[in-house]
Formats: sequence, structure tokens, C-alpha cells
Amino acid sequence: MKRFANALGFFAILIAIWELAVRAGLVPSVLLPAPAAVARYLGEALRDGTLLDAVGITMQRLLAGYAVGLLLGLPLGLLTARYRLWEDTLGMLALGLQTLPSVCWVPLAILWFGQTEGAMLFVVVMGTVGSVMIATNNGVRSVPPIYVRAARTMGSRSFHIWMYVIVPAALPHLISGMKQGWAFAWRSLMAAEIFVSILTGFGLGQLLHYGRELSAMDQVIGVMALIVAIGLLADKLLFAPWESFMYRRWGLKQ
Amino acid sequence: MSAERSVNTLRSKLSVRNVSKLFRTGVVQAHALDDVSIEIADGEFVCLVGPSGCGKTTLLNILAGLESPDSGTVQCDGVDIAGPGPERMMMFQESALFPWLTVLGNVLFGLKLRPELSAADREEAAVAHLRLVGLERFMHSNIHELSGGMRQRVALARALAPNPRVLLMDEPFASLDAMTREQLYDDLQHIWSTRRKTVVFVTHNVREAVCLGGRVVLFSAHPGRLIEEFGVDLPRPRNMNSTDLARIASELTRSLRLHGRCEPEAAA
Repeated sequence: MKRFANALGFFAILIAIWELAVRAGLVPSVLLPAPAAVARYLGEALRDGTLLDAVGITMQRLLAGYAVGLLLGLPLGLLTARYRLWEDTLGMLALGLQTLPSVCWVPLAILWFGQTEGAMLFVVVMGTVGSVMIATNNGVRSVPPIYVRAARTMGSRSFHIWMYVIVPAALPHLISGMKQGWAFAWRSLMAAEIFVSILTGFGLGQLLHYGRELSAMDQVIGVMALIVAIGLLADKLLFAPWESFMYRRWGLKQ
Repeated sequence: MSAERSVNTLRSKLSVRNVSKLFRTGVVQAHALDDVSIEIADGEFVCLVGPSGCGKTTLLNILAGLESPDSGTVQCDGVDIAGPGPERMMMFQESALFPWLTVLGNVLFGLKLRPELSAADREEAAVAHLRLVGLERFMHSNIHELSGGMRQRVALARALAPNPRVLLMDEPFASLDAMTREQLYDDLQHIWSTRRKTVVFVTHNVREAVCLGGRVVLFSAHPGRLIEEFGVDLPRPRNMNSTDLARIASELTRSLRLHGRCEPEAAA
């Protein structure tokens, strides 16, 4: 609770400084509208439904892309950890592609899939799968070999060892990999939405993009703040329960 | 010949014949084990002692079925050891307990790999063995909440719960403080006396070996060879600090010095 109060206080101070800077005329309000103006935009957009629609569409795309990314990344990460050949080939490719910012997939996605949901999905999956795969690979490789030896003496064999020893032992790494994957998926989707304007749905990224087209700074900043808030909230809802379980069981520092 | 030694006349439980194993690091090749032969009877408590690098842990791993020898044969009950088996359980220097499971979950791990047991049987065996090591109260605790000594007790319960005939112990008490260790010597002797498991116990601590073993086997390093065997006839339970024990231990230490360039660690 105290930590929550600290966070709240910190953001209140940030907003206060922002308000003061605008009032003192340090920055023209065309470039930086007052917090109240941003709040007003958010309130209106909430009332007329644009915001909720956009959040709904964005979350749909995000969850679909993230799910596909996990379904591909986790098993591929296990494969690269298990087989040298997979690590030297696919693992190398994933490592290389990690250096590619996910926005770089957008031109290719548009040419391949056109202005479609498929293009969105593709960009998100490409942004997610590599980081999940690499984190899984690292997690599995950092499992102390003694666990596997102990399990083998107790009669555990290949598949059983993977399911009941290696995967649970790597859980802290897997969770942090999934968390990182989530962050990458979120970034990839925003990049995609800003660049791909499609008719099937108007997401947060598109809202941001049109805010710029209309020079509506209150919209731009409002949507940015919303993106940050959703990211934080998702982190707490999706991953915090897992993390607190691990802290209790493993005795890791929080 | 004491009563303890007389079990040697029974058929061998574990049989190691002319076992050699090469150890390679880069360009260097060394014999981790060089033509080692040893017969261990059912119900015997044998300690393998030697300096580090003498291959005693390698021999234990071979008996566990985790490694295989380059040459020679290793048998349990007259059958070649081809891998880990339910009749042989191992305990490691670090507890090797699984941190994602509770104490009870750890003890159940090996039991769950026995399809012939019902869930109730497993639970009962796990709790009974936790009681045996005095940790029944802690069965729902997490591993990180336990002290080093408690962890090794859980590891002992985990190894004993599936009721193996052979217990292989790789310096299980090396990282514990002296007081905890002495308590565990008492417990282990008691468990061995009541359950008559065949125990192969690896250590570099001569006194520990004399305290626990009915027979102490000395190894030399580089190459790893069996150099001498001693029967220990002291009555049980043995006290680590008794003068008789100290006298035998110093005799063994002398013998090790005579054979090896490396000295084993001083007895604690």
C-alpha cells in the first residue's frame, strides 16, 4: 500500500510540474496542452465511445498476436535449448532478428498482407516470438544440471524430466521472458497501428496517428498516457500473481 | 570379525570389476578411475575416501547409472547397471531439492514415478519418511525456508521414501556446520541400523568415514585407484569425538599420505 502511495505521489508531482510549466507559459500550449485539456479530451472520447472502441480493438489484436507469439516462441525456445542444431540455426536467426526494431516489419507486412488485420497480426507475432524464444532458451540452459541428475536417479525420463523438472525449474526465466514478450508485442502493435490504417478497426495507434494529422496535441498526449496506463495495468494483472507465487516458493527477492 | 563385517560373506549387492574411466579436459587425459574393483555386500555401509580428483564421485555416479565406465563391469544384484534404477537412490552434496515444490512435494517426486503405488500409499510413505528425519511439521514449507541441515534431511527422506535397497551418498554433509553434521551422523547411523540399507558414502573427511562406515575404502588420485581397505569394528552408535575413532582415523590418514601426493582435508 505504501508503495502504491509512493507511485501515486510521484505521478501527482509530475502532473503538477507539467501544469505549472504550461501556466507559466514556458511552452506554447499548441505543443503541450495543460493536463486539464488532456483530461478533457480523454473524458469526451470516453463518453462518445471512441476510446473504448479503440482499446477493445487494440487489445484484441494484442492478445491474438501475443498468444500466437507464445505458442510459437515457447516450444521453439525449448527446441533450441534441447538441440544444438536448432540453436545454431533458428536460435541464431532469432538472435539476429532481435536487433531489428519491430517497426521494420511494417513495410513488408503491408506489401505481403495489404491493409489488413493479417498485417497487424504478423507484425505483433514477429515482434514477440523471438524474445520469448530467446528467454525460454536461456531459462532452460540456466537450470542447474543437478536437478536433472537428481530426477534421473529417481526414475524420471526424457519427457517427464522436461515437464516436471526443466520447465518448472526454468519458470522464473519463462515468466520474465513472457513479460518481455508482452512488452515487445505492445510496442510492435503500436508501430503497426500507426503505420497501417485499415478499415476493419480503429485502434489506439491509429488514434495517435490521426491526432498528429489533426495537430490535436491533447489527443496525442492523452492516447500516449492511456497506452502507458494499459501497459502498467496489464503487467500487474497478468504477471504479478505469477511473480508473487515465485517469490513465495523460491524465496526470490521482491 | 565383528557382526558388521560378517555381512560381507553374503552375496554381493554391488559389484565393481576392473572399472576404468578416462577424464578428458582439453588435451589432458587422466584416469578418473583406473582398474578399480570392489564388492559391496547387502546391508553394508561402505565409505569411499580420498583426495579430490580420485574418482570416488565418478564411481558413485557409475553405480547410480548416471555415467558409464569406459571399461569393466558394474552390477547390482548380478545385473549390469545400464542406467538409474529404483533400487538405487542418490543423495548429493547440495541438496538438489526442487525449489518449485514444497517439502512434501519433493519427497513425493520419486514416489510418483512408481505406478504400482496408490496416491494414498505415496502420501503415507512421504509423511512417514519425513517423520523419520524429524521434519513432519515442515511438510508444507518451502525449500528456501529450511536451513542447510534440514534440507539434507529432506533430501535423505526423498531418497529413502521409494524404499531403495541401495543408498548412494556423495559428500552429503560437506557443506553443513559441524554441530548439524554430528546430529546427522547419529540420525544416519540410526536409520541404517534399523533399515539395513546398503550405503555407499563418498567423503574426503577421514573421521566422517570412520564414524559411519563398516568398511572404509581409500582411493588415490591421478590415477584414481583403490589403495587400501579398512574394516571398522567400533560399536555403534559411534561418537565422532571418541578417542578410538580418532586413533583409527589418524591411521587411515597416515596411509593416505603414504600413497597420495595430495592430502585429504583434515578431519573436522
